[in-house]
Amino acid sequence: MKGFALKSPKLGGWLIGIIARYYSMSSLAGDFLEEFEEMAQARGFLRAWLWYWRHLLKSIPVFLVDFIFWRFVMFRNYLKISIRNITKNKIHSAINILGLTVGLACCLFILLWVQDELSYDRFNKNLDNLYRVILEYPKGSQTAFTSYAAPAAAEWLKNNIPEVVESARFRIVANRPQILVKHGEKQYFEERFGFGDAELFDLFTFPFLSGDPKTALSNPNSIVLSEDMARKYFGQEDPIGKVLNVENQFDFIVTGVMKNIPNNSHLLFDSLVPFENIESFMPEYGKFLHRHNLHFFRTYVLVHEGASIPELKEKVLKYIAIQFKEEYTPDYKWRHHLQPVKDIHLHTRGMKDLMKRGDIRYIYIFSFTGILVLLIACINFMNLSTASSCKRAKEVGMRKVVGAHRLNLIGQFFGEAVFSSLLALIMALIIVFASLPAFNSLTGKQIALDISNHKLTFIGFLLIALVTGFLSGSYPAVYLSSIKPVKVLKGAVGLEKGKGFLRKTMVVTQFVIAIGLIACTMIIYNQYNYMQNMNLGFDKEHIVYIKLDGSLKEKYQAVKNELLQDAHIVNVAASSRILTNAIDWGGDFYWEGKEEKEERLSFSYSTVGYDFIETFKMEMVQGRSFSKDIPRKPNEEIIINEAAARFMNVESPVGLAANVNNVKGTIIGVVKNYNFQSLHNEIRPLVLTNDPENFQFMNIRIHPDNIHDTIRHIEKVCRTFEPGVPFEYHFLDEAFEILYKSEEQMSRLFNCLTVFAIFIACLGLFGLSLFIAESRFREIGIRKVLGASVPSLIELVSREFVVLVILANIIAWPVAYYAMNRWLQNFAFRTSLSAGTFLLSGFLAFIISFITVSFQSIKAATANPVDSLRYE
Amino acid sequence: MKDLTKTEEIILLTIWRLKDEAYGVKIRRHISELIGKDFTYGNLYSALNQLTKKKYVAKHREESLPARRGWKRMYYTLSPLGLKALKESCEMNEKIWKGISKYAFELSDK
Repeated sequence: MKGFALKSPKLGGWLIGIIARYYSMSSLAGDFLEEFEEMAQARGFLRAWLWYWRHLLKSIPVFLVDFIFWRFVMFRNYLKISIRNITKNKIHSAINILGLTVGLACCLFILLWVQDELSYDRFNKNLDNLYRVILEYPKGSQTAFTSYAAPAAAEWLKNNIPEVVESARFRIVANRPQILVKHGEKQYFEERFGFGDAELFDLFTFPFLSGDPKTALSNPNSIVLSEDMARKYFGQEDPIGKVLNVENQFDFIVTGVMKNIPNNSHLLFDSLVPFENIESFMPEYGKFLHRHNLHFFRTYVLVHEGASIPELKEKVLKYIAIQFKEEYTPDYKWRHHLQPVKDIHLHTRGMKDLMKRGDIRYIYIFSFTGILVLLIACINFMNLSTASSCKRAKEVGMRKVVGAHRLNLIGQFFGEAVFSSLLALIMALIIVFASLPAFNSLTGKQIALDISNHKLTFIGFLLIALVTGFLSGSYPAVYLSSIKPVKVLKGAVGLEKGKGFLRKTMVVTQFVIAIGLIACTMIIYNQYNYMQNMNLGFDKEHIVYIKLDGSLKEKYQAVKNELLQDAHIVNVAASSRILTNAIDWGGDFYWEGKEEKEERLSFSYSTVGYDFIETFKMEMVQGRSFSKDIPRKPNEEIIINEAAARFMNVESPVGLAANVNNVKGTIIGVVKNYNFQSLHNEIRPLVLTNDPENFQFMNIRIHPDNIHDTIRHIEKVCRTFEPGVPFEYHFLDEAFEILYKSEEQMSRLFNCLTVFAIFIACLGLFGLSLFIAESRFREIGIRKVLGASVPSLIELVSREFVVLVILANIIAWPVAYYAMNRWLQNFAFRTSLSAGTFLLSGFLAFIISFITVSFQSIKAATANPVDSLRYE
Repeated sequence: MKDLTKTEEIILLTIWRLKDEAYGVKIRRHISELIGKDFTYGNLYSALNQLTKKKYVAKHREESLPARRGWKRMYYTLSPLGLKALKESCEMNEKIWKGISKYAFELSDK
C-alpha cells in the first residue's frame, strides 16, 4: 500500500499549509497528514480522502473566525493609531479633513442636482414609447426646430400611421400669463392652466385621486384639477361636481382630481380643460384648429411597443409634404420629427420652447467641476500625508522591524485615508442637510432628502467617500510603505529632495484647477451682466405691464386716457406680448415684388398699439410709427424692423404695399432692431401691425420718482373700469431677470464652487507652507543668526510657491479660454473674452496664495533664532 | 485568573492524561472519543493557540517522521500555570456539583 502518501490531497495540503503558517504551528499540517496516512492504510484511500476533506471543511470556519478576530485586534490598533495621529497633528488633520469635507459636500450637492436633472419624466410608465412631434422649419438658409406641431397633426398621425397607438395635444394658456379662476369668494390667477385632449391621461402617468381619467374630459365644460389646486379652492370638501368660473366667462365642472404632477415632469399643469375650449379662450388660435400648418400646439404620440422607429420617423417626415400635395425630398424644409419624451428635458437645445428645461452639457460641466473640486481636496491629503512622512517614518520603521509586511502597511495607510474621508463624509452630510434649503433656492429646485427614499443616493455618497479615501490614500500608502526601516531607525529620513517634484506637480494641478475656475466664473458673470445691461434697442426700466382683460380691453382707449391724467405716467401702449418674448407666431409676409407662391416666407409677427415705439423709447430708422391722428383699419399699417428691411432687400421699403397673414396693408416705417426675444437668439425679421383684437397687455412707462403712488393711481383706474378682478402688475425688468434665470443660477453655482475650490487649494497650500516652515525651522534660525534679513527669509520660504502659482497660471489660461469660448457660442450676443479677465483671475489666485504662504513664512522669519537653536 | 472554557478544560485535561503522548492526532482522537463526536482540528488548534498564548500549555518536544513530510510532530505539556488552572477548575466543579447526583435531574414518573 505504498504511494498513498504521495496521493494526499494537494489543494488541501496547500490550504492547511497556509493556515499552519499563519498559526506558526507546523504540527497542524503534520497531524492532518499523519491521520490521513493511517486511515488510508486501515480503511482505504477513498475513505481517508473523504475524511480529510470533511474535516478540513469543518475546520476552516473556525480558523476563519479566529483569523478575523485577530485582524480585528490589529484593526483596533490601526484605528487607535490613526485617531492618535489625528489628535496629535491637529492643524494638519484639520486641514485634511476640512478640505475633504468641503470637497465632498460640493460633490454631494452636485450629485443631488445631477440626479434630479436626470430624473425628468422618468415617472411615466410609457416613457419608452412616448414621442413628441417637433417641427423643422426654414430659418434663413438653414432650418430650426420648434416643439410645436400643427393643430390637425395629432389626429392625422393617429389615423394614418398604424404604429401610432394614441396621440394628444396640449397647450398651456397662451398670450396671457395668467387666467382668473373663481369659486365663490375665492379667486386666484392661475398660471398653469392647460388645454388638452383626454388622451393625455393615457399617454402620461398622471394618476387620479378621484374621477375617471377615461371620461373626465369627455364633456367640453369639464375640468381636471391637481390635488393642490383642488385643496386651494375647495378645502376639505369633495371637489367633484363643483363649478369653477374662469375669466368671468366660462363655467367648468370639476370631473377629476389628479395627483400633483411631479416637479420633474417637462409637462406641467395644475388644471386641464378639454382642448376644444381653445376656440373660445383664444379666438385667434381657434380659427386654425383644423389646419395642417401654423404650428402652435404641443403634440405627443404613443407608439406600439416594438414598432420600428426609423420607419415610423420616415412616415412622420412626409406628413407636411402630403398635406400640401408636394413631392417629399430629403431636403424638404418643412417637416415633423419625433423626439423621445425622455430626451426632452436634457436634449432640447436651441428649440423654440417656452418651458424651462435643462441642458445635458450643464450636467457634464457641473459633474466635471465637482470632480475637480474633490480632486483638489484629495491632492491636499496626499501632499500633506507625504510631506509629513518623516514624522511617521519611525512608526513605519518600527512596524516593519516587528514584522509588519508591506501589504499590512499599505492597508494601514489606505485605512487611515478612508477613515478620514468617512469622517469627512459625516461632516459633509451634516452640511448638506443643513444647507439644502439654501441650495434649493440657489438652483431653483425642490430637492428633499430623506434616507428612506434616497437609499441609492446615500450608497452613492458612501461610494464617493470611499473612492475619495482610496484616491487620497493611494500615494501615501505606496510611498510610506516603501520606507526602509534601517534607514529610518538610523535617522536618515527627512524630506527627500527628489520627491519634491511630484508634490510640486500636485500643487500646480490644484492651482490650474482653481485659476481655471476663477476665470470661468468671471466670464460667466460678465456674460450674465452683459445680458442684463445690454442695450436691447428699447428701455426696459420703469415699465409696468398689466394684463388687458374684460372691460379694460374693451374700453382700452378710455383707460389709457384716464391713466395719462397722472403726470407720473409718461406713456401707455398696448401689445399682444410682453417684450421678453414678443412674437405671436410666424406670419406669412409678402410684399410688392415678392408674391405668394414663389417661396413660403415666415417672419416673426407681433401686434402692438399706438405709442408702442414711443413708450419703449425705440428709434425709427425710416418712416413713422403708428399714429392715432391718421385713423386706419386694423392691420392696414405695417412696421418692419431693420432685419426685415435687409431681408427684403428693396431700396425703400416705406410705402410698399404688403400682405401679412392674408391681410393687405402698407409698410409705413422701419424700426431700429430691438431684441424681442432672449439674447440667445439673433434678431430676426419682424413685422408689427396694429390690431386691437389681439391686445393682451398694457405697457405703462412711469416716471422713476414716486413709483409707489403711481402704482396706486394705476390700481385705482383699473378698479374703476374692472372692479371684480384682482389688480396685478409686473415690472418689465423683473420679467427680464426671469428670462436669464438659468444663466444667473449657473453663474451663482459656479461662484460657490469656485470659492470652495480656492478655499480647499489654499488650505492645502497653508498646510504645506506650515510644514516647510517647520522643517526649515533650524535653517532659518541659523540664517538669521548669520545676518539674514526678515524679507529675504520670507522670500526664501515663499519663492517656491510663487513660482508654482505662476506656472499654474500659464497652464490654466488656455484651458479656460477654450472652455469659455465654447460656452459663449451659445449666445447670439456675447461679451468678449479679454486678456484682463485671465490676468485678473491669475492675479487673484496669486494674491490669495501669497497671503496664505506668507502667513507662515513671516511667522517663521520673525521667530527668535534662540528658540530654534536652543537644542543643538 | 480567568475561568477556563469547557473546551479549554477538556484539552488541558487530555494533555495531562496523555502525558508523554500528547500530540495533535492523539489529543484530537481522545477528545472525539470523550465527547462522542468528531472534534475538528480547527477547534483544537484555535484553542491550543490561545492556551499557548496564555502560557497554560508549553511545547514540549518535537519529532520528525517521514509520513509527515517535513511537518514536525509537536508534543504539548502542561505548564505550572496550566496545572494551577486545572486545579482551580476542578475545585470549582466540585463546589458547583457538591451533593448533587445525576439522578437528581431525572424526571419523576409520578
